[in-house]
Amino acid sequence: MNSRELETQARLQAQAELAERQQLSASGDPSIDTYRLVLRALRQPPAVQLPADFAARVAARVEGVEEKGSLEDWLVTLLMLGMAVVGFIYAQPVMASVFGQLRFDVPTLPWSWIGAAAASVGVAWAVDRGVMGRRGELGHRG
Amino acid sequence: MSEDEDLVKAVLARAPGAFERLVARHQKLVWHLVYRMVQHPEDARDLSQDVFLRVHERLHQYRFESALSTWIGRVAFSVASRHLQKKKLPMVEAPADDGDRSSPWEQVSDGFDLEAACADSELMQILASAIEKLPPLQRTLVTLYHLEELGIGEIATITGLPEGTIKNYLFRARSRLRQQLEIRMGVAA
Repeated sequence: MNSRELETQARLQAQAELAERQQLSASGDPSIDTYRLVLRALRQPPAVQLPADFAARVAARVEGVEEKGSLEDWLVTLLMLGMAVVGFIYAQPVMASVFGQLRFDVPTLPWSWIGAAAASVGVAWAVDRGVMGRRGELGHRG
Repeated sequence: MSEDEDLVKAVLARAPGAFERLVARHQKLVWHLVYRMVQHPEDARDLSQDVFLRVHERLHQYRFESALSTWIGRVAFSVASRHLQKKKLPMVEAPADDGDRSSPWEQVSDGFDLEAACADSELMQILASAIEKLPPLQRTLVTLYHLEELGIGEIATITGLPEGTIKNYLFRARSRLRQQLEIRMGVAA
């Protein structure tokens, strides 16, 4: 198709589309009317359709998947809980004797130095917040 | 858009019957798109179901930036395209088909009667089979534009194609259908 013919065909297609939209009667020009016939055919849905209960079936399948998923989650939780209880019962005598032998000595810490370090971090954080906040405000304005 | 929003919220809140309503509202678009792309009823039915399962799975990602139908259409297009890729079926064909062949338009007689032709089931059957023979992408585009009556912008969002390309494919598809129709009519005359 050369460019002139392309232009002609584009014009005919536009005329046919307009005539179809405005539901005009046949133009009598076979070039336009055959395009109108093509447009009517294109508006026909495919002969094969989805079954009438498609939406219900898909929804049921989704619900089935969800129910199965939640049942599986519930069973896994139950299994983990059971294993934890059995493990605790089994290990309890051993753990009791191990913990009974442990002695914890709490070390003496230099509390005044820890307090000073915490205060410094706090002040630095507050200054940083203040500066960043002001930058953010300027950024919004800019 | 607010209707979409209500429906999406209801589905996400697992309101009874909400997802079925969503499927019922959009199944026609999904079916037309998927069926016209894959042209195989059983595959198309399974793929349409997959589309809605994926929609259900990802609905929380829908940001209301486009109509729900457009978003679902995109999911359907991607599912059907992947199916064609898996089966190694081409979406588009080489453009050689639109080459300089002798125009058959002169063969059509001036006595062409649009209404009679439209009522002629044989002619409509010829056109239906010609539509089926279009490449999958062109079939899908003409379906979205002429049957679903979507705008070029919406089709571009669904397919990810530029608007100019879509217009070009639509033009070529209509020209090709008309050409085929007129060849058959010329033969019949």
